Amino acid sequence: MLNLKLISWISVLYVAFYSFLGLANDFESKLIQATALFDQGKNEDAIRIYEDVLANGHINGHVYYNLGIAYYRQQRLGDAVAAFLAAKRYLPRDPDVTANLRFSLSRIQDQLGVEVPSGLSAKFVNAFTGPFSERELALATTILVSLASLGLALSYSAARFRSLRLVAWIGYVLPMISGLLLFLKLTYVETWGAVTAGSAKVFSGPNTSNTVLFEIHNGAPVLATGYDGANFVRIELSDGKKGWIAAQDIRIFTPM
Amino acid sequence: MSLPCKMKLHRYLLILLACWLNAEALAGTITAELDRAEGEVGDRFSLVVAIEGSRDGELELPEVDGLVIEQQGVQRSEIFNNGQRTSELQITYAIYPQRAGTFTIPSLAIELDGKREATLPLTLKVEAAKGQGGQSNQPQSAAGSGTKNTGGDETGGIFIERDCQNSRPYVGEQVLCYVRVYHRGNLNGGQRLSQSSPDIRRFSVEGERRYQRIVNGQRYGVIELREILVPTKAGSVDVPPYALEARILIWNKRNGKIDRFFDNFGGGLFNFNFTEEREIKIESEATTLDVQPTPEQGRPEDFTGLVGQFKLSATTSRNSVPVGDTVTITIDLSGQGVLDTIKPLQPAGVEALGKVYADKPDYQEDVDGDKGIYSKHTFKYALVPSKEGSYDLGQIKLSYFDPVQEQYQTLSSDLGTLVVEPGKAEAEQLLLPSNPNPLTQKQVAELARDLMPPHPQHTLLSKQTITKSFLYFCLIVGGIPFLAAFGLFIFTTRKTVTTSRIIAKRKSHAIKRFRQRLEASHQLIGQQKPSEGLAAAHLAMRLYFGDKLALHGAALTFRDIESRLSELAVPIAIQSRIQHVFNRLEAIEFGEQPISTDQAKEILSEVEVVLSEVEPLC
Repeated sequence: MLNLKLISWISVLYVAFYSFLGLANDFESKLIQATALFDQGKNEDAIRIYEDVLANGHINGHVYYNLGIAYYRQQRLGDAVAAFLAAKRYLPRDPDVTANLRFSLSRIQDQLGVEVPSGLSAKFVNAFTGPFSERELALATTILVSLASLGLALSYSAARFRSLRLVAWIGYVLPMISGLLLFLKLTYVETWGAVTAGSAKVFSGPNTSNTVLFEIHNGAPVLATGYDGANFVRIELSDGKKGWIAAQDIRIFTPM
Repeated sequence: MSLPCKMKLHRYLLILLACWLNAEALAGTITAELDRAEGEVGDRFSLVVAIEGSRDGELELPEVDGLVIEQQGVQRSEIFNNGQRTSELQITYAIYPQRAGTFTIPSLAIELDGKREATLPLTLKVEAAKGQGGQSNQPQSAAGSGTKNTGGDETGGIFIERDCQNSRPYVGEQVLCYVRVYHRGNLNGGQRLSQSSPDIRRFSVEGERRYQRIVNGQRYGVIELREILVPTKAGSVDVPPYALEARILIWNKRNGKIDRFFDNFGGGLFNFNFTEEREIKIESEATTLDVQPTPEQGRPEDFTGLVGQFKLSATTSRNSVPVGDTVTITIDLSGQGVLDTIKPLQPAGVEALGKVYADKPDYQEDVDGDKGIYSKHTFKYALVPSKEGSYDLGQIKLSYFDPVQEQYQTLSSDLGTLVVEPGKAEAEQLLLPSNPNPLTQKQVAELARDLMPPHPQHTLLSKQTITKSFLYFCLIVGGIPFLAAFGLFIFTTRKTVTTSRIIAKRKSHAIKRFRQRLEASHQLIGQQKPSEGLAAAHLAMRLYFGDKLALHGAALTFRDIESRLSELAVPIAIQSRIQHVFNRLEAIEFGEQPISTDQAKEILSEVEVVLSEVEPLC
């Protein structure tokens, strides 16, 4: 005989599960369309759809990656580099992203990379947080907390699992570490962009009347470290140079 | 005439001839020579007049309209030639042409050794200086056009003048400007101060010219530099001044009474001049250009703002290629103009033929003061066709505005037809041996590099930021077990604490309860019910030990409590007595032995004694 209560609970869970995934269905059709246009070589149309999807909050490293390829095919090197840098934030270990970023940077005029000079502590933090995305660290923390908690609950509920108790308490150290890494990654997130103008001047202050410190060219990767609230962004380069650049000359993909 | 007379006559004639020749040889000479016969206005020419012989009078230099001639120096020397000593005078003149034209320096005449000698006239051809229009290039004042004099004493008389060839250029058109730094020989170095403007691109021309010029009757040394300006927007554009941070020498003299006294005797020996170096900033005036937009009439649709005069060529490395092989498309754009910001030129439609790999563009630029900016931009593409057939690669087109002709031009270059033949790869594969000799194998050569392919669609669907739903998921997956574990931990801990309290409470009240129960036993015995009384006492004893030792006391036997008593280090003697009492009570209760009241009382008192001994030990 059917257990109506059980069926109703399963239905509730089913609906709840797919309600979380419901948002994906809204973008799925657009992304299908974008992929088709991309394969047909209609890069501008694909770019428009990808940008629309991203602007509406569907942040996905693979979308940034494909967007970067589309930009590159349209000879928009600066936008391509910016898109690949955004993809790297969410897919830090993806070899395709790394390869395409390296390939794009080999095409730029300036000899620049995507790491800025930093102190020992920053390097230490980056060494542990760099290879993982925020979501991966959050998931790891969640799973480790869950496992440690299950072990602890088991050790307290049955006498024969009492020996697990100490192991479970020690097991909480791992999610504390991953949680700390997640906190550091969220706190010290690096916002990278790229120059989209053919040639852009970098000034000593947030105004064109300041001294021109140097010029950088299309595709040069820049780390945004500040904003004057109007038209200028403070940037730092991988060779240590710093300055202010007009916001219209660079592209930064910032997640919502 | 006799022969001897004729011979005498000839002899005399020969002597006379020799004397005449000798006289000619001994007569003075004057020559005049220019260092060069052609030049420009503003140049300095040098005229050297050499006089040999004893002169009578001074050489007078005639005036030449349009030339300023100044004597620079005199050099005297004595020459011994064939035993004869002659003196030579060399006078050097500096000539400064004031205008363009052809000038004739007339003969210079002087009496030498009693004879009037003269030089040949000299011709000097002077062209207008570039940018000057043939007019006098002498500034009207020390602060002439394009100059800024901050004060003669403060700047040591140094000033900068800038002249631009064209004050109404088109956007993107090159404008050549001359920058002249005038000094009085007191400029001891300096560096240009860069002043940029977003509306003007500046290109410096290498090299400088140095000459002298007379300004308001004073001679100046001139350092002439050139730069090319390219305006980037239409309208009135201010070109920032040319600024120089210069180090100038200032000669100072002590000016005491004694120093001024010795000035009458030349001064230099006794009143030492000394120099000090001072840093100053000098700049020319700002120049305003009236930049014209390129005309709208006739503007092609594909015009992107390119201004200059250019050539375009597009070629392919070959016209026929098998499938899978590479053909290189080269597009060269060159000419007078700046091409660094131009978007890459690429053949349209070739992507449908196969893979196209763009090479890094090559850009070269040459800034020349006479010819302007010449640049060349080369775009190369590697095309790997994937389909057989004959394909028209189309044309490369580009429009630009020619400021000289003031009209738009459209360049086009045809790439021609590409014939893609069937690939040889399959045919070659059949011919390959099944086990090729590894020693003859070669590394696969890399033809080109490209981006990695795009990621499949299914990877695009999920969000990868920490969204609310993801946060809820983490809270549920992690939070529920955590709360469960925490709840169990609290519950277990509290339970343990409660149980311990209960046990402790029972333990502390055990003797009190036992005495209460024993009182009931005494009452039963007093009512002539010794068996019941002893049974009650047995129960009381078991409950006592149950409370004391945290055991269930209702059905305890000695064996149940023996190990606990040993753990509590109760002496063996007392344990034996407890065991004895337990045995007696069990025998009476379960053995159904008759027992008198007195015996019951005796046993009760024994129980009391034993428990009173045990109480302090537990």
